[in-house]
Amino acid sequence: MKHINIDGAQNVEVSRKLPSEKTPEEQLALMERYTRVYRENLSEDKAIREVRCLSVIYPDLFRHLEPGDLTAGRLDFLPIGFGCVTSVGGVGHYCVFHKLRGLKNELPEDQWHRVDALYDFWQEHDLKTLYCQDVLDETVTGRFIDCAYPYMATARLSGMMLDYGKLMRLGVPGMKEEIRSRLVLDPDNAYLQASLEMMDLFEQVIHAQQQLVTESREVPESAKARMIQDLAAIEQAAPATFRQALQLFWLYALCAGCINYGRLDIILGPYLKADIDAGIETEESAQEVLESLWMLIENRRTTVNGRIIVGGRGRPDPEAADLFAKICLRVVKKLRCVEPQFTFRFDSRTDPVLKDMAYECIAAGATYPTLYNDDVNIPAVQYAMRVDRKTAEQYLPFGCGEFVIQGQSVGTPNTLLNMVKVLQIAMNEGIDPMDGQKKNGPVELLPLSELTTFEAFYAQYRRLLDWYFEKCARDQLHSYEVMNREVSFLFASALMDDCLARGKALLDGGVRILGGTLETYGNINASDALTAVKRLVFEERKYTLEEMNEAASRDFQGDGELLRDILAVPKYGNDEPEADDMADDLYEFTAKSVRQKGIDLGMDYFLIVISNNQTNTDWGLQTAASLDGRRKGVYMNPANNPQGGAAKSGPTAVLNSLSRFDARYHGGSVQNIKFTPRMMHEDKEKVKILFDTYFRKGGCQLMVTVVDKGQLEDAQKHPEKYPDLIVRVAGYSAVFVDLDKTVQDELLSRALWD
Amino acid sequence: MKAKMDGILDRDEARYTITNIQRFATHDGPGIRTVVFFKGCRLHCPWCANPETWKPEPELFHDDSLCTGCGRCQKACPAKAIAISAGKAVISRELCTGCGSCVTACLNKAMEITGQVMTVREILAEVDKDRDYYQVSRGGVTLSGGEVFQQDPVPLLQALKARGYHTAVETEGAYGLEKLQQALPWIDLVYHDVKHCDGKKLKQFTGGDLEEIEEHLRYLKTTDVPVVIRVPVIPGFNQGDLEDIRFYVRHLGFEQMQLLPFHPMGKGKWHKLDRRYPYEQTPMMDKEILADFADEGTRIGGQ
Repeated sequence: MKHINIDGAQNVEVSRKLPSEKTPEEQLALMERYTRVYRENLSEDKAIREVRCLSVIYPDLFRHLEPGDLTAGRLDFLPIGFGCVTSVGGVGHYCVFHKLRGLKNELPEDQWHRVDALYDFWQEHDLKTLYCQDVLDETVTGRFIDCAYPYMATARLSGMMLDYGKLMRLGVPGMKEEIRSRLVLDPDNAYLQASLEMMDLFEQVIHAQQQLVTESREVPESAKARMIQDLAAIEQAAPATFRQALQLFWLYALCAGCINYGRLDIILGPYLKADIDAGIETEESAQEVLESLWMLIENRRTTVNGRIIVGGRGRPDPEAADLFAKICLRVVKKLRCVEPQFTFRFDSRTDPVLKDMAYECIAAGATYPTLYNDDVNIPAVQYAMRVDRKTAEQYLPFGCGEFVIQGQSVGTPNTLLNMVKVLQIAMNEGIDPMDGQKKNGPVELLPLSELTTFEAFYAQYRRLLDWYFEKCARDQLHSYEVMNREVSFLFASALMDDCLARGKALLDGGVRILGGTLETYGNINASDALTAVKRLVFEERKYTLEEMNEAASRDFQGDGELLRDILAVPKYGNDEPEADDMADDLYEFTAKSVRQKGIDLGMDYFLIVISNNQTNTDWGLQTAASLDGRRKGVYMNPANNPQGGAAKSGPTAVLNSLSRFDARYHGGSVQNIKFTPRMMHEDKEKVKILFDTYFRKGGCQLMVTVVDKGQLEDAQKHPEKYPDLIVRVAGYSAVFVDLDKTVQDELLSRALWD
Repeated sequence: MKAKMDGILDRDEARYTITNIQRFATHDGPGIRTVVFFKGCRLHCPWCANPETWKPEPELFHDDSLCTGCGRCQKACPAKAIAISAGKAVISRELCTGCGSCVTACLNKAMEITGQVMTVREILAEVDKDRDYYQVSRGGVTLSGGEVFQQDPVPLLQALKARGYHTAVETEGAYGLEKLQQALPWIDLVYHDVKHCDGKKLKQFTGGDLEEIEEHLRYLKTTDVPVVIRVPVIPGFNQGDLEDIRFYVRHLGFEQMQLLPFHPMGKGKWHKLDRRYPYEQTPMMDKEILADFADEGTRIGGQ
């Protein structure tokens, strides 16, 4: 089989990263050294190889502080190195080929051969390439993110949220002690040996920060002195103060390549409270430290990660945790960064003052916090992931919305599926109308003329979906096998139950809960298409299946009446049973099938996520017109939201639709709603009741955004981007893009803005 | 028992011409509410934001901005009420029966029938959808329009009360008093318009009769139903007379009053009915200019 080259964009980079502190020549030398060490250790145990390679890049890749930093820890990454995810570097021992090639532009031509040598070597060794060789093919399975395919598979370890609490309790010496004591019982365990070396390396990283702090410019001497003191302390002992704890956590997260941070209120709250009680910190001084942390996270620019979660059940010291949460909310309200994705868990027993602060934050125009309802999510996770309540209480959303259990589960989304394309393939005897390729594998598909009932039509779609689901589950498991063959993920494993206890790496049998997630896209476009077909073909008998399909294939050109009729069929999101029932039916089929596949294959869980990023747009670009009336190339529905409603039904209708899907079957979903400032201010109390009622009715999550005037203007020009924007008109509320233009213009005039 | 069941069945089948059922209404009564807009009104206030509620029968909305003049509507119209002129459809309103054939024919969503006949059962089905929101916010259902009492709201009110909903009615008083009296047992809150205390101006601008309206107000004062007086503030009509109007209202014994600043949000609807909007150039009123009128009993803005 031909060698698959995965040169090309490997992830979505929306925010631009800070350029490396190292010169191109320095970067090249470092990458060569990494490659040499990797090569020399090819016959070693993967864990030993890993720690030796890590020793090449750590602490060397750490850079100096920026003005305003109150915690040390800024890490560059190179086109070759070690990591967990593609947002920062790559996965395992990685090479990001297009970035490596790009380095040539910064080097003199006589050095290019050195780059070429690296490129050629890593073609055979980059972990993702190795995985892709096994799994990708010509038509069905594409790499991430090649949107010509109906299905994409990748190898990555996203969403790791480590048990930092353990690190705080033991400190570096305690961790080393634990590993040593296990080695006594199991002296030949290479994983444990490498883990000990890893902790030594981490100690060196902490030590190296002191020099970096000293050399940093534009950082006040007093701040430097304090940081150096704290760094020296955590080199030798468990952290004793809030700043020390934060410092230790941050450096470890960087080294582990983790870009989601977890329940920091549990980890850091107790230290914070003790320091404030002892007079070492005030709320103001602590806020400054957290503002610096926010900037450090923002500067990593991972686009869709950076989760910090506060609130909710399962916190040993809720008072301390709430104190931490309150200060974070002040930071969020003030800084308005895109990252970290500040997340607020709550339930019926949450302190109303804290909850109100969260709402006020949103009302003030901060995009965060995003809201998670524990009363729904905890029992849902218990069922979905088949865990007990205590475990479920540690559920966390990461990235675009996928759930994991902090410190206990792997749940990376290594598979992605385009539900619309699969429907189109099912309708066209295996052909994807976008490119004419056959993409149905061995699944036999009847021509449309032989599908004489809606049930037969829907069943054919489900059969093809089932084949894809099976592929997803298998490929997901295989990604773990490939990753495990090559690396141990030493930093991550050490803080994940039960790796050290079992003496096994994360994917080697070490992790307590081996889960995974599948990102689905276009769910609502697909279900709305089913609704339209059911009504127009099988109930009203107005058109045949072939007529509808052919119209979609030519992007509805010349099919004005058919398109009008399709658009008149109810769409999900308007609280109308015909459309919402179908969406729910397809959702349950998809979610339950995928969940069962995971169980059958021996994963602890494998669940769909309906997530919030721009893949729905990118994939839509390469998806043909669909029978919900969506035109060719147009974005598909975002997250769990409707594509675009036709009714003037207001926010209660939107929320009613959004709360339809049973949270027990999925592994994370995102529901978006947008308001104008006027709504949030004039009707604030009623809007809060709106949210509370939605959550009470089973709403699991809500992402509320308050738009600014520029976005409102944008909504007039690009209504398709704002199907969920609710505005206050004089006396009522409505979906902005469904309003008369004259009303929209009025709303845009000065009179309606605070 | 059978008679009662029959009564209920009859009640559920009672029909109304409705222009809109608006959910998440936050300025039409306490809590989160749904507002049901009745079609039909005897008055003709030139600032009306819902001109499609004047005539009792369904009417055609034609959105000029979406019309391409393709002529499909003309071909479909059984009453020959549509012509194409200067690239747009032109409707002879006196011929139009509101049948909706043009709506089906139009591919550009330029045609819409406003005013739909709904049974009590159908209205309840829509209203029920937000039941949870009423409960938590102590909201309910508000009847408005048009003029609610141009139709017989009693069956609907009875059905709403039987469901346990809080009911509010927005009314302007231009109809026989006995209708209000009959309906009152099932009304929890009344919003009553007082547009002016000067009978001549009132008649000239709106067609309303001050004596008739006053009779309604005096009657309401004898009952114990909560009443809030609503005054739309219109430049050139009553903006300079607000103190007099407040005095009048207080003299009649009403404590609670709301001043509703003028807004031109209905402009598009006038155009879609092929009518000139009398306040074409008038901008939205900045409610700050009414700030001085706010006092204990006077609220600026709806609630």
